[in-house]
Amino acid sequence: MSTIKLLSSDNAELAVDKEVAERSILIKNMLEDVGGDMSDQAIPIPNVNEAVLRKVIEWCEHHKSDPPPPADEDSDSRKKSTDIEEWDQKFMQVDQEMLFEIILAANYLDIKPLLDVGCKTVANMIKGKSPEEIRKTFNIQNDFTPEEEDQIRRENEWAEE
Amino acid sequence: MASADAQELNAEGNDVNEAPTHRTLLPTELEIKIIGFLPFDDFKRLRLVCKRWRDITLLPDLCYITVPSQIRSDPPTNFKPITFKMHRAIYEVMHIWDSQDSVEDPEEGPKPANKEILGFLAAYKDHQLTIPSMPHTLQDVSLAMSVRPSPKRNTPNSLFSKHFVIPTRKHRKILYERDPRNTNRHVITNLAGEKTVTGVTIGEFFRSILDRGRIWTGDELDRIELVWKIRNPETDWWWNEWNARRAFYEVLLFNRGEQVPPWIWHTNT
Repeated sequence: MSTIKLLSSDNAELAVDKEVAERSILIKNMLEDVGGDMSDQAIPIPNVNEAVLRKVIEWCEHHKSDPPPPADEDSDSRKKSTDIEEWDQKFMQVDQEMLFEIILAANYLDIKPLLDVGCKTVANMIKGKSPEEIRKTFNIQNDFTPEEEDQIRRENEWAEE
Repeated sequence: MASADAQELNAEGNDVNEAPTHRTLLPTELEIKIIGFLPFDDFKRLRLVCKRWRDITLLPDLCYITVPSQIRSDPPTNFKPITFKMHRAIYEVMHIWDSQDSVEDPEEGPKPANKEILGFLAAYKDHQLTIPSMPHTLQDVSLAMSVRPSPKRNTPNSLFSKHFVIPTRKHRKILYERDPRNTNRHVITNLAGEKTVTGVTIGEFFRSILDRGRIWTGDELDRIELVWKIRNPETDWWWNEWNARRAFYEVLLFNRGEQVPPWIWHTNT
């Protein structure tokens, strides 16, 4: 099995199986463009630091035998369950900053299944919470004026008589 | 918000004195993706979190879903199925109706609309219910709802299913405002003379249910049909383009609370 090298944004060189690295569509396309031969040159991944890149590689290694995701992007989002398999749940038990970094890396590297897992993890952190709880969870500022907030609440009471 | 002079900005131009938020970490398209994983009834709460999320919950990207097509009868050669985007509100109606219990005494009288439905859909009242991919507007589309009465209703067999049609072909634009006589209530009125084709909005759709449906607690939504008819098959421009047999077509969306309802084509020559 051939190995390639990835160069993180903080100049760490990580060796990884080509099959594993090709879970990233970005890397797969790059390798195809150069004829698959990158054995003596590290592929620069300028948007991802070493710690995040190691996490992403760990995920890719675990999922290297998964079938490719369906191309259907425009399906009913309600059928998209927020269920996450157990291994992925444990994998995503990281601090919030790392979670967002993984999501950004998955988006940049074009690893849709990892991106989905990351987004589902965040969605599960939102689900069922009150606005105040959501703000607290993500440290979001309430930028509504009291009048604006009141108006939205009134909208929500549309049918009240 | 402090003036620009007083702000201390970081390299990205963000105010470093502001509370750090996840939105400084994730771009909008990813926030849309995350919110897209949530059930629609979470949107009501999300709208109250911050302005950014309120705006995101109103984006068509999140509110409209493409209904997959399914052809029942043999389509003509090269016939291209029409795709519509349906507002997610439709699915929520199914969800709420399906989850309603029928414990209330029917003698309390008809319950024309569910406050829960109207409540969380209020923000979407001006949204179009459907968006067709073809440029001929919604003039040929109608929505029909069939409601099976609650078993507690003393209904003759002949009225087993209540069926009412919500036409979408009128030229109109609606005005949504507070009732001057009762400020706790909103009213929807038409703007006379408005020529913009708007089709049916969420507000009109549920208003129509309110006015005409007279749905009781315990009634069961049987199905919603989205009926799209070709009115002038001899002249409609896309007829030849599709190389379709000239006929009368209907596209029916049957919806019984399934997550992905099928499109069904059938022809009446």
